[in-house]
Amino acid sequence: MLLFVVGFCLTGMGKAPSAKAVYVKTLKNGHYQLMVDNKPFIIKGVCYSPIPIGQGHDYDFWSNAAKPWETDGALMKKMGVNTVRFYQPGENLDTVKKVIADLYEHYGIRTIMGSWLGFWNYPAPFYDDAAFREKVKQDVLNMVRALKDEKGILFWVLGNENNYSFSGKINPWSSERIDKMGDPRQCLLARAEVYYSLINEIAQEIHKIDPDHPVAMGNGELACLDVANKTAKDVDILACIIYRGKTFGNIFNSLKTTYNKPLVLIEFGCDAYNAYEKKEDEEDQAAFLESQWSEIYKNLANNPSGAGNCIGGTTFEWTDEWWKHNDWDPNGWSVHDTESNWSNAAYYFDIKAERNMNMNEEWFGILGLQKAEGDALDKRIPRKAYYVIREFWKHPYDVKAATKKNNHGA
Amino acid sequence: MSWTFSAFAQEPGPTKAQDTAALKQKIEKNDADSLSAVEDLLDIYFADNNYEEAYQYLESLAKDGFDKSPEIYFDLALTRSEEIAYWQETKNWEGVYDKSADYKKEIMDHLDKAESLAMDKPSVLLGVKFLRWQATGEDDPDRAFGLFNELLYTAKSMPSSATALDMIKQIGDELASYEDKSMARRFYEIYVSKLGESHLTGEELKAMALQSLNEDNMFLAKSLYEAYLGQLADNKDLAAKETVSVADKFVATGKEDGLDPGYAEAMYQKAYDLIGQAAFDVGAQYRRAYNLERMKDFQAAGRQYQGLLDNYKEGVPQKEIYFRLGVLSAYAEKNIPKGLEYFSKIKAEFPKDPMALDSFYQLGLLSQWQGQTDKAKEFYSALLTLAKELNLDLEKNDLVLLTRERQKEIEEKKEIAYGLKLFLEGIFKLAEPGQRAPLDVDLTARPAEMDLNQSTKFVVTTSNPQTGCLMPAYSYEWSGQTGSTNNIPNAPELVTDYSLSGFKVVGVAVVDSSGLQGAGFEMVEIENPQISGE
Repeated sequence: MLLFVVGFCLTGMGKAPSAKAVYVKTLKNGHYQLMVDNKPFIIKGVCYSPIPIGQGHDYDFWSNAAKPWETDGALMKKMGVNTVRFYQPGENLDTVKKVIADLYEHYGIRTIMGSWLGFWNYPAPFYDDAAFREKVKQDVLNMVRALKDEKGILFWVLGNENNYSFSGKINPWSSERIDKMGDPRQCLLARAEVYYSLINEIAQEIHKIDPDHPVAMGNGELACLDVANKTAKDVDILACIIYRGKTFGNIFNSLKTTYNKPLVLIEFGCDAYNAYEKKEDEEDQAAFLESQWSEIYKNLANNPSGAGNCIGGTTFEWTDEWWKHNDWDPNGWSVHDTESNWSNAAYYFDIKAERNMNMNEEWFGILGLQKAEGDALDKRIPRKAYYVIREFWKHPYDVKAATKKNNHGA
Repeated sequence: MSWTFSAFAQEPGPTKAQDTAALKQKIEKNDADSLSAVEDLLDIYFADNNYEEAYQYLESLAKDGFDKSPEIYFDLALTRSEEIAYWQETKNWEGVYDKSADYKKEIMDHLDKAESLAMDKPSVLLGVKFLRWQATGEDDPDRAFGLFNELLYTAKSMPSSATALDMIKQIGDELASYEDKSMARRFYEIYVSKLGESHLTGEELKAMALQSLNEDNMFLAKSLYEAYLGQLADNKDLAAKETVSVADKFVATGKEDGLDPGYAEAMYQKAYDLIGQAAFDVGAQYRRAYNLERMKDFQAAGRQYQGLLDNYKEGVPQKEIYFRLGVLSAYAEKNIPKGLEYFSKIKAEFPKDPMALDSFYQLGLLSQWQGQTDKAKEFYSALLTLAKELNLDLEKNDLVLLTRERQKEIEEKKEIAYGLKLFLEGIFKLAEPGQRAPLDVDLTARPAEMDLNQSTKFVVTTSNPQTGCLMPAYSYEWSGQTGSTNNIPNAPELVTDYSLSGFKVVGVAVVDSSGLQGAGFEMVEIENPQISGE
């Protein structure tokens, strides 16, 4: 009897010996499917950083008393969003757990949780330094240990566009060993090897402590994936950040020959500001996003017209973020800046802006924000894209050449 | 507000003050003339965004007395369409996406009914086809493609009446506000072709084209000009001259970007294809070359400037062309010997002209860069001697001041000034075989031709390395004749002006944390109105 009671208790306390909660399935035709609770799952997601007007990048939205995720969760559910992507958890992992649980339990929305891997540490991410690597690894593993049992967790993402630093042009880092190589191309490849080997080490460790959730690697475009193919074999999913305008080009097929992993478009989108005409532009944003989602769907598993290696995407982003232009200046955090931060000719509708600077980082939200009184939550104003994507998800189809009306004039 | 269909209106529309009740009284059963009053009534309803009342009234007409009128069914569809457009305009996205599916079904039903009753009414038929295409476009692009062809066919089949012309132009104007301008051009072509059937003279077409340009309708203007030129097919000489004249209207100048420099060059080429070089007088040939230079097609610009020197004896601004060719050869083509050759021609043929100063400086600079310091010293000395002979202010003349800097560098065996050295390395060294591909650096001044002391803005635009939203932090090293600005900013823009006339060559080098990435140049011309006026 005693034995029976003990046995019963152990079974009740332990995890059921079922299949992994989330995993990637390779189909007979070579296509990939993300499986959640043993059912295929298409990631219909958004990048989520609910920073209020007037706050900056270091604001702890996880502790926001106005609980933006409740208002947003309801709106997301109405739209059809099933996943949010967080770039990095807050410092207090208990509040993070609460947000993940609220989103999942009340709105059925799952969480992709990321880590910057110390990329924005000052003075630089010394990925070739053993102590730095160990610290980054332990930070990630602590996060995984703390959050892995949350039912809402979908998978982990390591890094974002960190690979753009390999050339030494963005957030440069190096080491004496690498610098000695001299040749810029050799230095770039060495940095790639160093970074991707760290990713692989962390992925291996995560698998040991959390077999229930896959590990994805964030990567800007497909740059340097030939190196990752040799050094980051234990990654389960490639999470790409892609800004190629209306289309993702040949990325789906190209990936098969460089780094044959399931692909999630972890960041893509279109800003809602026309830098040439200097006005808000919901039409182009909606048209671009609809086209992008159409390509994602075309390349999901079992669609004969696509590559079958895409498992979904998370649009950048849910709401505008007013702090992003000149993020060091708190005076600008309450201003919806219209000065462009970067240039991308694939967003052709406003590329004629001066110096071709057409990408407005503060205007990527599919919801705009309006300042509310006091500490109340900023008002959410769904843009056209919100409805267009909602309709697309209800009735997915290939967008070929939608006739788009706009105000560009003759 | 989207396109408003008003082809049925026979009289000027009413003012808002007019009572809708009075208009309703005018509308009698089975009375075709009362359709005009319906249109007036709709104008009032639409102006007030009162679509539901308009719709209900039209429905009552369709049920009582107008059941055989295609216009009423068209108006029912139009009313729903206008309401959706109003929601879009006011960003009432819930209206658009929650209600418009039902509305669109109603639109299609009414259009089907209107079409079945309008077989002998081409104007109504055209409106039906347009509205059906418009209502389908966003939801079913494949079907919309076929519907647009039907629309085009209907427009082409219409008799060339004033009403038809007006409707076709209205549709073209509406399409000109769409992203794909080719649809507008196809409608304008039909419009222009129907104008031709109306036996308009070439001069009338030309006048209409000019009017369209004045109304900022470049697409219609192009179609009208092309129809006009088509009428000159029997007279190649005249056709070529007129084609050049049309090109001149779209060309870039130093003062303005031009309406469509690419179209201008296409027209110049068309004129050349007709009768060769005879199509161009000196002025036209220069405009063609300069248009290409502003388009940054430096190779083609060089060919046309050279054509100016080769084909014309009188009126050619020879020294200016030599200088332009020298700069383009050296800094765009990266062919230093060819550049030196053109600069030497100025020295040889215009030794006492102020432009010789520009040539001496460039000859000196390129020699110094090549390590030929003795030659460079000679050119710099010649520049200073000539400047004295010309009684120039030696303490203010920018070329004299730059020359002294260069002389000092040679005397003290120092490197060329940092910014200038980076510029020259960016132009010449990064182009050498085996070097990594340099960044494309475009430097453009607006305006590029200006008066003394008139402000101009130089702007640097670079091609983008693959770094997503993370832009590399560049620094910008400016060099050359940078004008009156004392503190040159380390920024991609430079606003300046010039107190001395002539050509000014400005360079910029773009540098990031991994070193020199690329370089660009710009050549501007400062005019002295007093001298120009003489």
